[in-house]
Amino acid sequence: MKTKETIQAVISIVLFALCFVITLPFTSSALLERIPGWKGTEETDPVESVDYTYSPYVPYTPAQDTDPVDPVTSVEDTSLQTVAPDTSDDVTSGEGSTAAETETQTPVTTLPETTLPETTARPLDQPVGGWRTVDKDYFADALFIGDSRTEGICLGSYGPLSNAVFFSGESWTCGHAMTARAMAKTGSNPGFVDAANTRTYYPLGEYTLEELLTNGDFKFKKIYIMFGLNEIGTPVDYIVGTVGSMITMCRTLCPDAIIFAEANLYMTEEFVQKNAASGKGYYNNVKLAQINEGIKKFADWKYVFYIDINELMGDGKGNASTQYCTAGGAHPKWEHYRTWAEWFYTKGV
Amino acid sequence: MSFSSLEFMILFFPLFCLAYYVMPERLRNVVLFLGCAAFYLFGCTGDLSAAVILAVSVVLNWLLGMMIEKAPRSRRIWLAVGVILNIGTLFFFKYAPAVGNLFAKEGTNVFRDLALPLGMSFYSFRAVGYLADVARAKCYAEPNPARFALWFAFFPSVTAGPITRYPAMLPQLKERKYSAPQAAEGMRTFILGLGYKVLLADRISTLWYKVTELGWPSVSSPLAWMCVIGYSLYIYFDFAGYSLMAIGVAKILGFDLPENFRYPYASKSMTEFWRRWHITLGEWFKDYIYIPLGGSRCGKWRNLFNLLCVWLFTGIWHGSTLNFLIWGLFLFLVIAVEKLFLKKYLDKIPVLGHLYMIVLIPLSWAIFASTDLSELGSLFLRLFPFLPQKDVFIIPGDWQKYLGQYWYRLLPALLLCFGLPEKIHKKYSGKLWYDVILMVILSFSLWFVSKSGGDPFMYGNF
Repeated sequence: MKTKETIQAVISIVLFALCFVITLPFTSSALLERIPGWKGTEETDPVESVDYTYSPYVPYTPAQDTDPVDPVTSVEDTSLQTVAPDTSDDVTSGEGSTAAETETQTPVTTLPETTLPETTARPLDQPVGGWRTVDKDYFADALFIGDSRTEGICLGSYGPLSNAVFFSGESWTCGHAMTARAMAKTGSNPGFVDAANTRTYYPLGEYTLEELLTNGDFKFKKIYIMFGLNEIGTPVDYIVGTVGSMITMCRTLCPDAIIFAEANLYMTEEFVQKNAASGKGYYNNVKLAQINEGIKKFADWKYVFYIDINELMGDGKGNASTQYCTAGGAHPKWEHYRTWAEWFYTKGV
Repeated sequence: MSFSSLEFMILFFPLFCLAYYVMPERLRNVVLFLGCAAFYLFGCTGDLSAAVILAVSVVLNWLLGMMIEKAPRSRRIWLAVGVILNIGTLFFFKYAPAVGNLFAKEGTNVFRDLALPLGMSFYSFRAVGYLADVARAKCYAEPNPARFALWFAFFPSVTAGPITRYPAMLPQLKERKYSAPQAAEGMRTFILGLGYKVLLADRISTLWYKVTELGWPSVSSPLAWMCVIGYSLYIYFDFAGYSLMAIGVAKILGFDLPENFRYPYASKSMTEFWRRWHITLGEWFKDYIYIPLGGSRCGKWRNLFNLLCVWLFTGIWHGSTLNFLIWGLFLFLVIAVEKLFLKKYLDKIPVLGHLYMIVLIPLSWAIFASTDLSELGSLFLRLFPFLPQKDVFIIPGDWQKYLGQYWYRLLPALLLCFGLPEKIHKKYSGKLWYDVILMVILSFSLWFVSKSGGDPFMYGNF
């Protein structure tokens, strides 16, 4: 009896051990990937095989302008523009001179004393003359493209952006947004009541991004783009490249619009630690900061501007603040989507 | 190092078992001691202070045990010193960050980053239990410090229980029987626990986190209920799974650890629930808090006071935020009402009891899970929509969307949470067909862990 039990037990142990052996190919490769420096440690997500017809955006430089008299025809105009904030929404009129333009100017003794060299005329990380505070009407021709955080702004802002258009969704990547057909919608509006008697957004119909940008009904003048978190398992260059492609796509199809390339909101420290503990060490704010730095380089402060929500919702140490964000995640607390929406009001150009 | 991690299952444990069984029996405790040290050091990678604290705790408690035995006249004093040191240290690490936040100016909380050392919640209770048992002459103090350290830092149970008692473990530390049937049974128990954790708990865990990010004012009542039920299933399969894995690992090594869960969701009352949930913790509170205070062998009001002490202590042991205190108070109120008159009806009419618990279990876990009290308030308003509501902005179709995503994870968990797997395991363990089922569970679990990295064990936070 005991011998029979022992034999049965040995068979069981062998069977279970066999399971470990059979599964060794994928368990061992998963284990090896967690070793720092091992090939494929940093990025484990497959790169999307999307056919991008747009190259990453090349930031505007004066050398691109072929018009010999463009953009500055008089020194005085330039100096006035550099000392007085431009309050016009139309930023394609050649406002703001660049360092290259100024350097080619012959210094004129009639320049007002308050004229500043171009290199200091534009404050760091701000457009010429700095940001201006705008009102709700500013967003009547605005388009927001992004992932679940942008979707949260759409659904959770309840008013401040109810006249803007949102093209966003949970788990969206940049590549997905450039090719998917999805519902465009307005920002949520507490005054809107749908058939189910709930207050929500207004659906505008299903579009691809290309259709949305070329649709004559919309005529966007401002396009806000935020992607990077859902692609964080792929290389930084790839992510930045796709965002750059989207910027080019928007500039090409919607040449009258300025682009706001948004920095990705950081994750909370707790979320980063949780991911590190479960083998997703690449899900961290250091990498997110690298992505943001790459996106920032697209800002030429003429057609593309860079805004960073982390100046409000960050904790100053490279993480999202738990005052604004859910401790265990990568999203603001629901009531702070409105805070985020209202922050856009302070980033007018 | 979690039992459900690849590092443990593919690397540490196979190598450890090889060393353990290759060695002659008389040296296996040495291998076990080294294994415990390696396990703990790996577990606190990046923070060796936790290992130092454990080592100091081992030495101090061993010395205190010896003092209690050698100086019987002052044993109460030494016991008091031991209780203050162990429980005081535990509460310092648990509460200093929160208290520091209350009193320190912005950014000056020196305890902000203080982390609870791995397993301290459990080994400090083990230590107090040991000292109390020595003081009450239930066992002799362990003269061998290495054997004491082995019990104290026994790796299958050091991080999250079961909370073992020294008198029960001593005979096994001195001499163990090894057999293939026992090792096989250990593997079966481990695999069952692994399946609970990886195939059930980890698959459901994201529901709670995803929905809480939406914010309760935006969640419909059906989704709120789905969420709290999901959380109830998640915490059960996560913790019960871990306990089964710990018991399985210990059995492979020749040890018998006490049962920690006895299908608690089949209970008919909260009183019964807490005799089936985290059994070793409940027994600890009963033996070292409730009974010394007088237990139920006193007047009604004193009995209620004793219960209040136990449940408040249970609450604050689990966490430092106010919701845990409220949770403890909630449990006390429910159990007090049951004790006063309700329980006999619940026991007499099982359907009533089960329906009563179907509502109470998720509600109690909702309090447990909501560390932000304003969020807790919002959650309860959504759970009971007939209450006066604040502004509510429901996203249409939310519960249908999440039900579509989670039904195939929630349904098996709902069917299995009443004890069916344990009953099948008890009846058919050893049958070849049952082993084949376990092989399938093991293979899928390994695949999921490889693919997703797995979630850290949730109860390890406490």
